[in-house]
Amino acid sequence: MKIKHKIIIFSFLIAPACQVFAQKPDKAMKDITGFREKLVTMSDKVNTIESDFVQEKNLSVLTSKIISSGHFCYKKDNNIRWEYLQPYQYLIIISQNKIFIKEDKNQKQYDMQSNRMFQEMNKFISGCIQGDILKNEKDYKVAYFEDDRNYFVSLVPNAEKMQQMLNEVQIWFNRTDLTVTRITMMESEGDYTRIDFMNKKLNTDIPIEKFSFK
Amino acid sequence: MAGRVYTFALLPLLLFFSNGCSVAIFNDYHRLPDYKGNTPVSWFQSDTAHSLFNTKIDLMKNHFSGLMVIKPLAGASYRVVFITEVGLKIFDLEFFPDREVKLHYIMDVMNRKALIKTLSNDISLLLLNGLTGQPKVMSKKNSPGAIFRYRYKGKKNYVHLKEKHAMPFYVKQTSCLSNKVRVNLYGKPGSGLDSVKIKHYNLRLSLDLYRIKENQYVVE
Repeated sequence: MKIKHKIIIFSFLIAPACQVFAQKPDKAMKDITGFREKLVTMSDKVNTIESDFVQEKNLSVLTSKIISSGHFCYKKDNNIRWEYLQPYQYLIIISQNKIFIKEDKNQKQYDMQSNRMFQEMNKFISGCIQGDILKNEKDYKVAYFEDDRNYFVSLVPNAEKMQQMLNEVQIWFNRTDLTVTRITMMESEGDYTRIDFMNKKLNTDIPIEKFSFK
Repeated sequence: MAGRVYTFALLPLLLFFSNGCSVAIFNDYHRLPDYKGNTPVSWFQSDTAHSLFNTKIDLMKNHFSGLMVIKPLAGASYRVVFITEVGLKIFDLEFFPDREVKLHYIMDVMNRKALIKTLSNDISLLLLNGLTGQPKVMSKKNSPGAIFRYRYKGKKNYVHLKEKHAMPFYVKQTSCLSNKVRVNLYGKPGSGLDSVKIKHYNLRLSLDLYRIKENQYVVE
């Protein structure tokens, strides 16, 4: 496939998302409690999530963005498979308190219990996916907004060390089914990472083997 | 008695050579006084282009992987940013030809003065940053091309060029006695750098960089 065609395809993937996310909502959410309750209800009903994703990395030092794409799977409880497919292969599996990372021919397994950094990473990822992160007022200052299509939540880390890494985390929820449609991680100097989720499927049968390390 | 004194004096030298240290004294380089060919030019010297590399850093038992962005800036300086595949920054450094490296950001787990200094040194070699002054031009037996020796902060940096090429294929840094680090650069001057391998002689630290073709990855 010609490079030009790849870029066009990427644009079509991102364009629908851009139409939905034209601007960050600035209208304060009227019913925060209602939203959080709906999120809990949704979370209880959803056992699996499958989705494609496109990741856009913006570095202020560059004039152009860095794009990658892949596939994401989630299965209760706390089984996560995050796989980059283009332009390179990189796989993270989180399951049963262990993290497995595979890149090219290298693969390594870590025990989350003995690694604080991975515990935090798992807490963050699964918190974003399940919405639990919104309850974490100890670690984040949370603000809620909405527009016609989306709910939008802004999380600002409280800890100074975390702030050095991430200024703000923005999570967009589809207003209809309350699934996460976008996560943006804002860093210093205008750098950010934006992940858009598309082609989502809920409660499909995902075999547990997808989250094994073999 | 004199014989015992000499033995004691030679003992440390014997130990030094036998302990596995990579020795820089006998490097087999010879002066090339009438050299009139190319002088070293950085692979990254450019007005606007930037380079992306799939990068792996192995430090002792730790392994870091991600993308390294190298961007030339005005005034012959460079910005080098290393990010994880997930997009989080690991470090962000700015290199200047005439002053110390500026640290914009580094992940807490890597925030050690000695490590920052070592990484900055290694990347400087890759960029040929800070190698100013008049180098000594040398050659090596059975090796075509020229070798340029720059002295910088008490170390010697040997930049190897192939015949008719200005971009280096090999850079070695030594102290007075021992080899410190070597950089192998693979690529063609017309099409750019493909990959880089940086390896320390006396430290468990290596960096492997593999160029990502720009068009397949970056959207304007």
